[in-house]
Formats: sequence, C-alpha cells, structure tokens
Amino acid sequence: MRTTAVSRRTFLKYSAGALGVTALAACAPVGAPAAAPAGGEAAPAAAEQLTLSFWSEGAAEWAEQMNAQYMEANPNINIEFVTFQWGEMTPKLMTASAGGTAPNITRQDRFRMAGWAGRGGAEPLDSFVDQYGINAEDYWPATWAEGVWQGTVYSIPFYTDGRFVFWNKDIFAEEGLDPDAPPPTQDWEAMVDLAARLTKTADDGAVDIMGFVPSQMLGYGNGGDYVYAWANDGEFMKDDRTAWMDNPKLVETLQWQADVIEAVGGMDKAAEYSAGWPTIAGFSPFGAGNLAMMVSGDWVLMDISKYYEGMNFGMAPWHMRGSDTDVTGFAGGFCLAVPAGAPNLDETFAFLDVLASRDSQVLQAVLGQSIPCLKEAALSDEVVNSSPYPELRRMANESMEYANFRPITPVGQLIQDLWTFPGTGRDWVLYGQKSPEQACADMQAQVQQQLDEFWASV
Amino acid sequence: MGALNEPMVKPSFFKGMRGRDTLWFYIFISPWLAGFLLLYFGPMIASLILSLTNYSVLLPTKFVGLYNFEQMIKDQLLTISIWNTVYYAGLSVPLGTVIALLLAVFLNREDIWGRSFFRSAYYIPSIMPIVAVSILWIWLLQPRYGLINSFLNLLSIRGPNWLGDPAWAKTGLVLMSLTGIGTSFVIFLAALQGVPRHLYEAAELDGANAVQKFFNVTVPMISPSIFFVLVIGFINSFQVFTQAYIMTEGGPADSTLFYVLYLYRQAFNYFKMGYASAMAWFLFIVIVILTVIQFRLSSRWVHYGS
Repeated sequence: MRTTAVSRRTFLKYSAGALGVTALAACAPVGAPAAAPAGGEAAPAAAEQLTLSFWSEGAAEWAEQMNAQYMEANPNINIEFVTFQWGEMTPKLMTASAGGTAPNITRQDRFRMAGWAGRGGAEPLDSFVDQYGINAEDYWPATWAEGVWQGTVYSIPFYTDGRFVFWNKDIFAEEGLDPDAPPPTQDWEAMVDLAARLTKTADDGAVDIMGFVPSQMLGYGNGGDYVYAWANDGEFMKDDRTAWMDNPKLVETLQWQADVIEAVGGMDKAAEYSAGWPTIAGFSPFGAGNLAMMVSGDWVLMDISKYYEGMNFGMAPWHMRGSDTDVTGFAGGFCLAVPAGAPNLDETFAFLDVLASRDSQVLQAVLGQSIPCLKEAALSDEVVNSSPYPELRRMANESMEYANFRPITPVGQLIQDLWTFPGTGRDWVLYGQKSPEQACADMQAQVQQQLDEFWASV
Repeated sequence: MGALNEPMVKPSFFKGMRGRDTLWFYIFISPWLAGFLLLYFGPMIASLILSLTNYSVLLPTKFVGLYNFEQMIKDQLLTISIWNTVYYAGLSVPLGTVIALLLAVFLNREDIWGRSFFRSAYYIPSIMPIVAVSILWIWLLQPRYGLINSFLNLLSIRGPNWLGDPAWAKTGLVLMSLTGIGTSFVIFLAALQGVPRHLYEAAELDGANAVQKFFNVTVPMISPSIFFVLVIGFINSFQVFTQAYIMTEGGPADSTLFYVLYLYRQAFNYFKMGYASAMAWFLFIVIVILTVIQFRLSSRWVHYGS
C-alpha cells in the first residue's frame, strides 16, 4: 500500500484552503436555494415549492399544529416557523426588516402595530380584507381598532386577553368580609383601607399575606396600571401628535397607586415581598394564599386550575371610579401582520387567511385559554366550555365588548415602559423619588419628544 | 554616492521565501481580517455616519448633524445611566481584581490540599452562561430566603433587598460580577508561576516578611498582568448589559439602568438607531480615553523588565 507523507507546510496550506472555502460557504445566504444539478433539469415538483416564513411571539403549540395542517393541505408550501419569547421578536424583526429578510407573517403584540405601521414596517392589509371578505364588525372593537393606523388596516386581530380584579375568598372570609362580594374597586379610598386591612406581617417583620399591590411587580399582577387610568377617565394622548402623560387624571392615578403601596407597608416591603416569587407558572402568591387581591389577566384561570385546583377565588371587572354600575376593561393580546416587502403576497395572504380564521382562533383559545378576537368564536360554547371555569370565562370574553385599548401611537412602547413596567417611570413615584406631578411631567417630556421626532421623520 | 547608483530594489511581497511567508501570513489571518473588516470596522464606520442621522431602520433616513449628540446632553436618563455604569465599573473592577489576585496567590501555594480542585472550582463559574448565572443570582440575592442574606442573618445582620432597593441594586450586581473573576484568576496564576523563585529568596535574605515580599516582589513582577486585567475589566464593565437586562430590567427606579441597556432600548424598543449610534460612539471615545490614561499611568507602576 502506497502512503504519501504530508509535510507540515503542505498540511497548513490545505488547512488554510479548507478554512477559506468553509468561510465562503458560511457567507452564503441561509435560505439560498440549492443549485440545480449541472446539465440536468430541476424536478418539476421542486420548482413549484415555495417557502413561507412565519414568526410568532409564543403560542408555539398552536402554530405548529396550524403549520402542519396547512402544509398537508398545500404540499407545495413549506412553512418555516420561528418562535420567540414575548418581547424578544422586535429586535430580530427590526434587523431582518433592515436586511430585507423579514418573514412573510408575524404574530405579534397588537399594541406595537402602530409603531410598525407608522414607520412603514408593515404591509397594508386593505386588499387582503377586501379579497378575503374580512368584516371589521365581526371582531371586538378594541382589537380591530389597534390594527388600524391612519385609516389603513395593518393587522388582523387574533386573540385577546382582559384584566380583572381577583380576590381570595378564604382570606376575605377570615377577615369577616363577604367572600362573594367583589372588592369595592369603584371606591379608591376604600381599596386603600382594604389593602391595609388584609395585609398580614410575619414574625420577622416581612409581609406574609399581601393585601393588594396595584402596580405590576416582578412576580405578580399584570396590566392593572392601564385599567386604573381608564377607570379614572385618564387618557394618555390628546391627539396623534400630542402626548398627555401629564394629564391630571393620570397624576391622580399614580398618587393612588403610591397610596395603596404606602398603606401595605411601603415600597420596601412590597419589593421585598415581590422578590420572593419567581415569575414562572406554578409559583403564584395569589394561588398560594399569600396575596388577597390582584389585578391580572384571564390567563390566570388556566394557571389556577393547573397548579391550585380547588382554590376559592373570585374574579370581576374593575369599576369606573365612583360608579357602582359602570365597569372598564383592557383588551391586550396579539394580531397577525405581514411585514413590509414580504415576497409572494398572494400565497402569504392565503396562509394568513387560514391563520386568522375562526377555526384557528378557536384552536388557540382552547389550547392557551385566551379570548378569540372574533366575537362569535369567543362566545361559542366550544370556547367557553373549554375553560375549567366556564362562567368566569364567559364573563371575561364578554368584557371585550366594552374593553379599552392602549393608545394607538408610534410611541406606544415608550408609554407602556414608563407607565406600567417595573424599573422606570412609575417607579420614580413608587420609590418616592419624584412627586406624581413631577413624574408625569417628566414622562410627558420624554413621550412628546419621541413623538415630535417621529412626526418630523415621516 | 555609490549607494545612490545601485538599482532600487522593489519590495517584493510574493517573491522568494520571505514573500511566500508573507502571502501565507495574510492567508492565515484572512478569516480574522475579513471578520474584523466586515463585522466590526464596517459597522463602526456605518454607526459613525448613522450617529449624524435619524436612522430608524424603516423610515427614510435624514441627516441631522449633531442633533443626537445635543439631545444626549439634555437626556436625564442618559446621565443616570452614565452614573450607574461608572459606579458599577468603579466598584466591580478593583474589587474583582483584588479578590482574583488574592485567590491566585493563595492557590499558588504548593502546600494547599486539593489545589487543582479549587483552581477549577473558581474558574468554572466564569465560563458558565451569563443567563444561567443571572437567574442563579436572583435567588442568591433574594432578601428573605437568599443564601447571602441567610448568611448575614447568622451574623445578626439584616441583609438588604439587594435587587429591589435602588440603594443596593448596583451593589448586588457588583457582588454577582465576582462570579466572573475566574478568567483574571487564571491570568494571575500563570503570571505568579513566572516569578523567579530566587527573587523571593533574595528578599528573605534581606529580612522581608510575607507582606513585604508580596508588595515588593510579587506585585511588581506580575504588574503587566494586573494592568491587562484592569484594562480589559474596565472595557468590559463599561459595557455591562445582560445581568441588568435579565435580573432587574434597569430598575428599580432606574438604579441599574446601565449605559448599554439604555442604548439597547433606544435602538430596539424605540427605533432610534441614530441616537443609539451616537451613544455608542460616546462610549467608544470614553473607553479609548480611559484606556489611554491607564496606559500613561502604567509607566509609573507596570514593570516589563525581568
């Protein structure tokens, strides 16, 4: 057997060559089609194959089922699916859009659509609406409104979720309160007193049972901050070009949130308490009986049935301030959109129609215990009865008729960050660094500046 | 004059043995060179240009001159983020360097039982994914049940709410940064093994005690390594991002809003790529100035001679 000795120099030469070829190969676009065999014709079936990319913030189980069904019904279509954690898709979508490789369809948070649409990042869907007979009247009003920017439709509502006050009936009964009577959310002073009354301290001085913390904290509660503002007739924008973060109604709302926190022992106690609960399903202070009241989304129903079966709790809409009859609500949730410049629009629209369909919305509602944006689907028995708490589910789904929605503006993300998220904005007041007036004035300056910059750039 | 009449020898890159070596040199470094030019230098130049525009990825880009830099001066949150970053770097780099050095000195002794195990044990956390380390530290720093406050309780000290109190949040992240001292520790360990033994013997003959030997032999001899660790440490700590992004989201009350986290928000939450580019260039210039200052000062205390 003949062997050839390879010198170190030769080995290094070939290694360098191989490395170079590998580097060049790595530079080839990921989605580049394979070259047709030299001298031969590509197979007819392969020529007709088309890949559509679909990105989703969460809901992977629903998406994978829908994709599989669609590919089975359309053998020439291949769906390339990518899923993200909530909030993680925006940077990727932005860079993909900049690079001309945005997906065909996204399933994304609805309140961000104005930001995308206003900046030209979303494909107008008016032609899709006409072509596929989409009727705005079939959707909950808030969910449809969030997808329209300057009179043009940019997204199709997919699913939504509401915000409600939850209370632990056992804790109420132990305190001598009527366990079946919802907390007096119409009376803000009474809520401050009730929060203090229900708060119990452990031997070491830490909070054992928290009465109520209205603001979203790490670990519990979600989205109440908007609900209180609306319950107090507070608006965040005067018009498309004018922010209203220094609205006196918002100042009052922020002051009330600070008052509640002060009543339960102050922000130090609330923050220490919050730090004891991980932000993962199955570790809920409310479910564990350590939180008397909270404002959160209807998805909590699924968590309670899964991790705290048999829990004695109530769930009700939040009242308008001072009104025993009028209530308000919050329509959060997701939509389906097409990024600007998406290729193969005909095929994209056909797939979008299936994803946005009634059957698809029902599938997601059953799997994820969310609220379909199509009214008829949301009120159908198959959706309502899929819940472990059908009566509460029906109440939650019906609340979408009067639910409010976040401001439709290209600066909606900044408003949300300042008004609701732990870390900045509202923290200035809750941690006693600024008065509510000063905090709202500073938020106003930030939002208005970003708004001015946006309008100057379009 | 004779030399002037000699024919000029043209530099030949690719002729002869030297030329071939040069060619192979460039071939071998080409992956790095291509990566640097395409992925670092190109984007740097692009970001410099973008810092003078209102680039927002999707909308038409307009030249705005120095507007972004003017806005930076007025931006209160930017000022807070600079302070947070300086505080973090000023505390974490010296602390991490001192602890890594002391650990290295201790584990360089030959009479330590299980020396190899402890060397590995102190190094391993520095190669763990920062996301996993961050989640671990959320629980270590938990005020009521966390390991750190439980230990403080044994000393009758009521530990703070590390990540939930604006006064302590940065300090909590500084503590966490000690997880990453393994790299500095290994550099110091290697440097310590290069210190000639006869210098210690000479010092002992002169009557030096352990502390005197440390400050007069060890520190000067490994000063290039200390200098390297400090320079890299400051560069990295000025870019601190992940732990604040995961653990505190910049809070509470902006107390962990670090510079790069704020930059990220401007770029990817608010579409303000032009502003973020201006911020990036400001950070780059600050780091360059700090590094130059460190190099200038290094002549006073870093010894390169044997």
